[in-house]
Amino acid sequence: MYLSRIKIQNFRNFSDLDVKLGGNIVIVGENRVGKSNLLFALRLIFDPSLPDSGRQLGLADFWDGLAAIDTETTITISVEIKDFEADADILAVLTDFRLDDDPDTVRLTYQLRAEPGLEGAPASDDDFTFISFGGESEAKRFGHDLRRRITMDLLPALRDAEGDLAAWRRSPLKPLVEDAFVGIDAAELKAIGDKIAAASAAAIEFDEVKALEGRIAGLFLAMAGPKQDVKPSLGFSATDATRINRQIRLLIDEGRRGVADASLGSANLIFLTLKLLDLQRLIENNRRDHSLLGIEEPEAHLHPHLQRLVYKHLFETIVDADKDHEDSESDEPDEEGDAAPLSVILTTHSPHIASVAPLNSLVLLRPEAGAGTKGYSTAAIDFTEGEAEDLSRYLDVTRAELVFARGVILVEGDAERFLIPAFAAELEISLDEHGVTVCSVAGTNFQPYVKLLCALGIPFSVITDYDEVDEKPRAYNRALKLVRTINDARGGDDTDTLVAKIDELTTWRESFDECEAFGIFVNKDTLETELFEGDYAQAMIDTLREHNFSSERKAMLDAWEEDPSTYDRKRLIKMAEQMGKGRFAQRLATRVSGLEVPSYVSDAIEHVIDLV
Amino acid sequence: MSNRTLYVRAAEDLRPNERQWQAYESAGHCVLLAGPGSGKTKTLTVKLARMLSEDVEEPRGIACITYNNECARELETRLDALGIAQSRRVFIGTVHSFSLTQILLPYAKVAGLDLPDDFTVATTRQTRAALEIAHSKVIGGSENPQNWDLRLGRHRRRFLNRSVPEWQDADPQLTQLVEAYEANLRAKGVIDFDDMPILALKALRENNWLRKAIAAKYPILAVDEYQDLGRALHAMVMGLCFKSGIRLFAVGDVDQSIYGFTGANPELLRKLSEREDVETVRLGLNYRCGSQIVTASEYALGEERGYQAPEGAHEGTIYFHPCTGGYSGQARYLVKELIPEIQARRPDLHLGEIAILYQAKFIGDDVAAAAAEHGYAVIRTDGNALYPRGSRLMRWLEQCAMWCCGGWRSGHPRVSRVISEGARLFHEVIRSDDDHLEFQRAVIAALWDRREGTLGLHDWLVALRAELIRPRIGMARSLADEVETLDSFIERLGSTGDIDDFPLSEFAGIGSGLDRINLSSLHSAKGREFDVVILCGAEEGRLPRNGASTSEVKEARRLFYVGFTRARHEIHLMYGQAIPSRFVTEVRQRLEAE
Repeated sequence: MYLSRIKIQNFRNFSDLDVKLGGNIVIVGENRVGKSNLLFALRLIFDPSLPDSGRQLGLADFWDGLAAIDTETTITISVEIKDFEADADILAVLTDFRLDDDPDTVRLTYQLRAEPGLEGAPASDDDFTFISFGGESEAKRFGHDLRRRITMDLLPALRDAEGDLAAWRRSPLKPLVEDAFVGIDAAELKAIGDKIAAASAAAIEFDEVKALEGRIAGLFLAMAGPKQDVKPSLGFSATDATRINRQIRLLIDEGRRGVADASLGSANLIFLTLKLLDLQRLIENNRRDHSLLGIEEPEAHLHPHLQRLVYKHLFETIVDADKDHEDSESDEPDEEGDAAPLSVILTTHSPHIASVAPLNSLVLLRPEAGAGTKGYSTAAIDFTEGEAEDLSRYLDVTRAELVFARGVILVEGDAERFLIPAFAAELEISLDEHGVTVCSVAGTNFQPYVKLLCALGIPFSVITDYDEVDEKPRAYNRALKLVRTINDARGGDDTDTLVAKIDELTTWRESFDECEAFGIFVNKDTLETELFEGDYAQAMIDTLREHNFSSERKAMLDAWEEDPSTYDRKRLIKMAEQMGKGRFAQRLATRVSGLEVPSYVSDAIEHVIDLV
Repeated sequence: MSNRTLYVRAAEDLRPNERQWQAYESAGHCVLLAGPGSGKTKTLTVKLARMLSEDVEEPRGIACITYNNECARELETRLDALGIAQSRRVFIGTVHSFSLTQILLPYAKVAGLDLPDDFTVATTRQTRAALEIAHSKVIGGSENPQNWDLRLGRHRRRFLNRSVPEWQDADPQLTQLVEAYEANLRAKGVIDFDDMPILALKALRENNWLRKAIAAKYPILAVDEYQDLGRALHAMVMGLCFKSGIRLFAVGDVDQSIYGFTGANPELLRKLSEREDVETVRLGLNYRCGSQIVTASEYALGEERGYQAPEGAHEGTIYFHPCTGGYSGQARYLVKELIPEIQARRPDLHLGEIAILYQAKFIGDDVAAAAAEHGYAVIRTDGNALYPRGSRLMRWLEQCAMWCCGGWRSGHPRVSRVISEGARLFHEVIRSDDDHLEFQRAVIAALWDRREGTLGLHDWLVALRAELIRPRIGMARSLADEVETLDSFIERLGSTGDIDDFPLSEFAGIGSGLDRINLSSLHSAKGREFDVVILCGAEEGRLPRNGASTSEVKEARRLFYVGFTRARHEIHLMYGQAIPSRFVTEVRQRLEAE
């Protein structure tokens, strides 16, 4: 099974959130946008450790933007679940809750509303009551019976992993150890207990220790009097055979240190390891059928490299989630399906974690003025197989930053990536301040990035080269395809007519001008020639001179300096390539001050800035 | 004590009986053919407990379908004793309640059944009205439209799949009548009892996901009284058990199939038991009837089955009573001579152990009148009973009455039981712990103030109806019919009704069943047993009826056999001296020939 959709109405940050989900969920968004509240909304439905008193929300939990709360106002949280037929246990628990018009989708709803029969508007928390029901009928109530089988656990952001590991009752080690000890012969445990008792007694026998024990007991007796005497003594620990397992501790550094000495990061990692093992154990022992593991900001205290390693492993190996939704329609309900019995739901600010998250798992939360927080997700994007592979491969940390950006300028290569911030600075625009990221797609395949950004609702512009071949700009088809994608994603109607209209225009340039409304900006040739023929001939010649070219090349540069109109575009590009386009651009970026920014670049920058 | 211990201990009782043990050990599809008194309910319940503990794990469970609410109650009580309470994992009920609660209520919309929103179950009044309207539209004329009721039902059950051309061609007028009748019900937002299995079957047939879902919830399906459950259930079993992977544990007896008029057919069970992929176990011992009665029962049936009483069983006696004076003569003889004679012979026997069985309710009228004249208290279970014994609501009210008449002091019945049974009755409206608590308070408040056996039943029922029932039936979609039963009973008890009001204690007595002679139709005696059985009106023209077809004669014979095998110690056969039933004659002749 996997969560396929969540809707939240009138709850805290959310006026009306409706996002499609794709199984695992990686929630990103700025601080205070409602990431934790989204997790809490899921807990209202799935967390059995949340008591009913915790499920009883109140006036303060309604969305702030509500003009008034009357008897008809409700907080409603519903999730939809798909692919629930592969595991018969899950099917048995969920089957009654299908949608009326779609047997392949199950819905679970939590609703807080005014007590029935209330006169006047609700005035206090006591005026509300909540129900949990499935499907589309309130008569289909569900409760802990469901939460026990499909369970959400939450690892909160600021949890005290060390403290939890140290306290036996709270330790995730406890159930694992207890389980492991079940099969062990009681007589053997007793023998061990006796040995511990003997060793313990031997240590106490030292005069120094005995004296200390005596002093403690004596002072206690003197202070508390004989009636309150608890008879304190020194020893290692209880040696009762049935309690020996409680003395088991998790050690680190080959047993040299206790876990209390671990770094904060390691302690968190150990905690996560034990928790995952415990979830596996619960499912193997048929104590539950599916775990929804919520993790808040897992990057805390974790080195970026470890963030990637740990969560890549988590997503790829442990969860190995529902890669093949379509294939899981097996006809035998008894066969365990492909879908793993664990879904991970995490909130993060870390591009490192976003970069290893499954492509369809991203959920971006963003506040919208007067409308509460809205959500955008990648779950519903219709990537082709090639596009998905491309994105997954290239969504490295730098590019993963784009999901945290408020606006994105997509460019072809490193040259643009280095130059555009400098150009922006020339326009007195700080891209960082606006939260705009320049992202290189390393080529001209903008399609998957554009799909991703459209789905996430992030404003963007695309800067691409004209690239003439056989008198036709290669940018032409590229741009029209992008227009098509963007218009479809915006829900614009009749894309075919729109594209046909652009296509009918007489000149390439006229068509390209129409594309600018969609954020696609095309130059007249390539970046380097565009610049050289613009204001940048001298700056570029100066930059190329930094490289150790042959004297023949150096002479050529001198000639161009003399008369820029004599420059040879092929040789110019060749030299920039030889120097390294990236390095060339980086160096050139230091020389742009006071020069005129090419208009297609300034248009592209302003296009994005206007939207963020 | 853990649940496991309870059934493991109970299973030890099965071990000495090789066949019972074989059924207990079965691991695949199993059909248990169980003659009268063969210990089938015990075998079934212990096996259910075992499967629930060993073969099926949380959250999946077992569905157990049986013939009527009475049988369901019996199974529940026995399972309760084995530590198995009703829960989400265990369904026990009739084909109708299975169809309604497990398929129609949860899935009507998504399965595309096109039923009205929030449909409810039609009351008898509504079905009669619908038939009347349909009749005037399709057939017309001055005859009583209700005469078509049986044919209508038979036609609907005959075509479980209406997509075949015969549905249109075989009897177009009747088909039209059915369609008009059903359209009429739908317009009122209701379905009737026959609709339930028919629609459930349609939903299962058309939705693969639904079959999967039922198999997920109930990987094991147990069916009791298979021979009487009809074709719709059989079709469900075929689809669910032999195509969708549910394991079947079916119990029944071909020889006790007596509901041909509702579409039951003993052949279905026989064929099922002959399947290659089914383990069939035939129980051979009859623990109920005396050895003489066991022997004679095969004469009654006219078939050799090889049933035996266990070693050391009592003998049992068969009495023949040729009478004069028609049914009223038989009734007079029975009350004046026969019962006093039995009481003299068996002074320790209480009257609740005596049953008078007959084929038609008007014979029951004669017996009831004679009994009343001689001051015998009776419990009547036939078409003219005070109220249908199968009414769950009425049976619950009997429990309430017993609690009011001393049960609150003695703990019989336990108040928790009264409340939990009530809560199950009203399960559609009692959905949260708070609802349950409120219901519990209301029940206790209502009953506590009326703990007095001398109270008039009429007023007691009126008060309970107002305080407990009316506030809750609004959303109880399956109870409308039950409430109509109560309403009409209250009306009959009222000042203008046809029954004199009687004290609450008497109503409670009906619930407890002690010291009342049982008057029952042969059909309603199914599944029950009595120390002494008096079979009244065992004569030609009645058993079998005049002009009966071959298959009707066969069914009449099975009915006679069912009545015959209800008896532990004594079976008394009464008939007009000139017209003994051919079945009686055969039994007598073969007994004499021994």
